[in-house]
Amino acid sequence: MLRHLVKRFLWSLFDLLIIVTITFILTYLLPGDPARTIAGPHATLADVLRIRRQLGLDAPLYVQYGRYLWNLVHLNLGTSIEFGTPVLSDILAKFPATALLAATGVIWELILGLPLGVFSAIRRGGVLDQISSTLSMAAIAMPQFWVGIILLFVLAFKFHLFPLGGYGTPVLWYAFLPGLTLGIGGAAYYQQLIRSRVLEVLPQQYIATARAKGLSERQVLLRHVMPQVLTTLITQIGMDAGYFMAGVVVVETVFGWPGIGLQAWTAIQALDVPLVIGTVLFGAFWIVLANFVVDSIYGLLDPRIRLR
Amino acid sequence: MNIAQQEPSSIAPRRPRLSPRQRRRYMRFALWAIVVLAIVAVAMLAPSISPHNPDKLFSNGLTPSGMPLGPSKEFPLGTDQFGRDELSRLLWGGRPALLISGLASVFSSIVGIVLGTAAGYFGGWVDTVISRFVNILMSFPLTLFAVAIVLIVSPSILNLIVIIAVIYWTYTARLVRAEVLTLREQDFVAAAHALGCSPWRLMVKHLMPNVFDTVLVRAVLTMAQVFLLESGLSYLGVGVQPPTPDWGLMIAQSQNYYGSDPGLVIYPGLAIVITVIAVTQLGESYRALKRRT
Repeated sequence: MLRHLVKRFLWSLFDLLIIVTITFILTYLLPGDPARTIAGPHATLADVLRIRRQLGLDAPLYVQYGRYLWNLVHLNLGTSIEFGTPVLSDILAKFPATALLAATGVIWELILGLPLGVFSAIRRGGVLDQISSTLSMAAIAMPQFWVGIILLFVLAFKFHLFPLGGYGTPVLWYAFLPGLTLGIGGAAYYQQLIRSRVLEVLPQQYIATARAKGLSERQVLLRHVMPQVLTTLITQIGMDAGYFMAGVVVVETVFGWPGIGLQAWTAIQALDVPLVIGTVLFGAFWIVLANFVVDSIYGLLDPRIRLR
Repeated sequence: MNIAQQEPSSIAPRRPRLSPRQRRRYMRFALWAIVVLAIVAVAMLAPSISPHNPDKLFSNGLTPSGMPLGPSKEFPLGTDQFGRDELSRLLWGGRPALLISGLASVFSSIVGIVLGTAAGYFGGWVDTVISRFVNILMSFPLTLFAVAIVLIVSPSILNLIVIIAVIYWTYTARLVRAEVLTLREQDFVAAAHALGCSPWRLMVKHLMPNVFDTVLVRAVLTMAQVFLLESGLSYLGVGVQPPTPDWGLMIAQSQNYYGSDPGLVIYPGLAIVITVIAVTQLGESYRALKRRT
């Protein structure tokens, strides 16, 4: 088991190295001169050259790459062009809001997706199955920003049940609609995933055995079906959490939710490349981490995986 | 296969009767194929069927206070906030997203099937390199990554297609690789190999045809996902640029008028939802059709 973990960990580090290299290439390919942007429109050529030297942009490519890696190892993601502050501290300042939104989104996915998926599988072809399967088909096809705008308009603007976006106290009241918007698509996906997983498990022999030995349907479900579903579910939740932490640009933009996604979007308007690339890198880090954690948990739950 | 075809048709029944279940599947597939064809037809014929030029700012298209008009004889669905005909913009608005999602899906499928087959067939270091690269590309936060690249290369339709294809081939490749891994163990591959078939020929003639259905379904589902991604990018302002009519962009530009004129947000949104459902269901119904049980 330890060997499996170490191997997975080293691969994750390797992935991160390549990801960093790709973002470095992207930064290097960028049109426009950061030195000129910082110097402003009225700067003299000498000023621009001086700033360029300060930023190290006059060094050869491999030196810049080396410095880039060195800085990253020291958790230096560069300096925001717009604010002149370290990119990492900008991101970390906004990260709690994104983490909260991500958690709310995952909770919504589970609240809506899990029961609907299980019940539509148990009563396959029934009214509830047909309704929830149709709803999830539609929910997967809806653009998040559209759902967000409609929820915002109907529940916040018309009926004043929720605030019109932004962030405040009590925070769960503010996170309700963005979280729901984030979770709706995932909930629909969970409904389909769990439904098909339960349908796979139900015809198995050991379920028949469990019934034959006199367990109630409820016990069969909780003790024999759900553990199977849970393995699938944990993988999916882990991945979703990773993706949500990586920044949910669209939902944060619609609701004016002050997370790293909205910050990155604002940075795009300002052509603040270090901040945008920094956020991409930060997001990729979360996804790699989620992958690693999910794999490890999976190895713990299913011995066959780690023996491969 | 060839032997069966040479037999006189009187011996083998010409066409087996379809089971009721299989017939229902054909019906379902045909229904969604018609819906998708209709959507594509409307988008392609938009220049000839739309009542007005979608980009024209009508001087009589706004109320005296500068608000969008409601439905009238001249403007069947009213006008948008710039006094342009909403119906014409809706008819035109699917074109960029359909073009982008269609072509991105084709390109990503081609790359995905080639690299996925190579990884599954050769194994070893080829597999390690390709699978690692797939993993790494999948680790980028999708929307944010697309946004960052668009920032670098400027958002033209061609650039969007290339960027999205570069991200999405990974999903096809992963599926194809898994399928080739099981196909590789089968007798016909060993037979072809024993007959001196070159690896390239083996992949193209023997392996790829067998994964074709999987790739086709995946391509259609990719198209639906890319359609949503494109509308999101346009909503964020890094996709299709104004004044080009595009459903995602129309929602972004009209959202402040939602209170007075909800149609401006509702119609393009419904258009997106219907298109994505139709394309997704086309893929799903094709998959069900091929299940043959």
